[in-house]
Amino acid sequence: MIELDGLTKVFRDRVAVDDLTVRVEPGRVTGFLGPNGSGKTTTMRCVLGLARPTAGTATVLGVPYRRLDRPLLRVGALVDPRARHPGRTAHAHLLALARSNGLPGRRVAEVVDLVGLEAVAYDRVGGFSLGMGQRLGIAAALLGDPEVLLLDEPVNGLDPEGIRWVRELLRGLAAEGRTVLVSSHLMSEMEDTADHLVVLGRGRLLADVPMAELLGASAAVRVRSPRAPLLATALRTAGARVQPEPDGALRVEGLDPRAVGDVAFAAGVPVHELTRVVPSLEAAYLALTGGEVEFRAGSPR
Amino acid sequence: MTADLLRSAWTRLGSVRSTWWCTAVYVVVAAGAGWLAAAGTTSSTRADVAVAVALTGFGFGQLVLVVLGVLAVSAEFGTGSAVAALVAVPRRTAWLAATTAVVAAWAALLTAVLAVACAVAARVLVAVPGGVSLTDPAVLRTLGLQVAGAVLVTVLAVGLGALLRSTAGGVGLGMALVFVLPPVCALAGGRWGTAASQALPALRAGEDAFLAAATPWPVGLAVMAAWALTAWGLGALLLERRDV
Repeated sequence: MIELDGLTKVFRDRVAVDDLTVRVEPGRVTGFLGPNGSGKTTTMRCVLGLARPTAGTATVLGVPYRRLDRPLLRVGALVDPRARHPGRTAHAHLLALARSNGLPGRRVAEVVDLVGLEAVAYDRVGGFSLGMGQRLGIAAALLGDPEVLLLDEPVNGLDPEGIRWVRELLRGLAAEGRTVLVSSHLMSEMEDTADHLVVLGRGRLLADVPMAELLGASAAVRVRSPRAPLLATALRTAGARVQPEPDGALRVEGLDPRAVGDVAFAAGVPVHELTRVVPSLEAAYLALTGGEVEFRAGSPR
Repeated sequence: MTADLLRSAWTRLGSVRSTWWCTAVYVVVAAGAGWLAAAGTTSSTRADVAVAVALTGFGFGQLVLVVLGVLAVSAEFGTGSAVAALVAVPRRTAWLAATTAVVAAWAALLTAVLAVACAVAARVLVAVPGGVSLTDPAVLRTLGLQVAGAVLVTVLAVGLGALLRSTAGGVGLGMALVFVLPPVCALAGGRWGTAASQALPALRAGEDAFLAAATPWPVGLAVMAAWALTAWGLGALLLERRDV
């Protein structure tokens, strides 16, 4: 459980996080989404006690993070894959962290195996690729077998196999009843991972909804009939918004497929196709954050 | 908890090459310069003065301790490793204290071994009436001051590292404080120059400060300790307050 209550962080003249109130519940993967610069990392840094909130509070398991004794046993975090000394070996980096929380040295070997870094455990991390750095960061987060996990962009730099591995790992951890908060600026990465979404834009909360609800909100029904104009009139009478598609089908918003079928039956119109159209998460996300992008590339003239 | 933090700090310091480079350079400078100084001194009237001459190398060696102490903190911040370290140990003052204890203990151990070796060099190479006895109270005091001075320089350097978080800044300021400004002020002379030199944290072993204005050893030790504790205290305070 992670709770943010009116969390605000101001850097000199820039409001990075603006009055954010969110509860991240255990037992599900919560996707933390927003464009670059929308305040995701700053929020996580406030939760982990690395940055001091300007106003409001952030607690983990009911207490401010900095009051946790041996925090690695309760909370695991990946904030920055570069958070390591390049001259240290992966093993030494993890061993120093493990020892600081009283964890035995064998736990290091276990997490190294878990993330698949056995072959390079005694290499200096300065030579690691971004993907290997992410695996090392995930290993550090898992050291204390924590009940809460915060991972900032964990799949950045991972290959497709690594992305799938992270996805399955996170789903498995959430299924065990842990709290999992994972940030990303790419909606597509979240599509098969998150159960719940918290969406930020310019530091403000845009949405805190179950994944299904976000997708359902902009769902539509596609219906095809040889007597499309008659069906369209009947559907509009029933309160739906109807638009003809280029191929002659109708796009219906505001009614579910069952209601559309009933309307067609009542109107005596034959139906040749009736499909529920779920928009891509990407489209739903862009619709939500369209006006909130902090850094937008100019269009070529 | 404390033992865990100390073990962690030891792992952290022992797993970077800079610690071992500093150790090697410190040994070569302190032992080499000490041996040369002792060899270049044929005779002395007092045992503790003969030993103090043999300890000349530490005047240069303290620069290595400045680097070692500053790096213990600044390397963590410079590389971003501090983020991982302070997520694991959010009690930042305890983290800094453990880091300081380990690096200062290492400096104390190295200095004690090297100082005794230098005293042996003085005993072998310098003619002193009655010889140089390592159990002579004056000799023991000189050696003890050398170890205390090394510890305090290291603590000062760790404090500067926490204060500035920058290796270049910390090492630059540390060297200025312990190595450059004291002799510059002493050379400037006059009442103010001498006072300034005496008030700066120069490593003092015995009555003669290395390249700085002479100061009675209890005063010198107190000045050094005041600088070290102030820098460390400010470093800890800022570490607690600032964002990482």
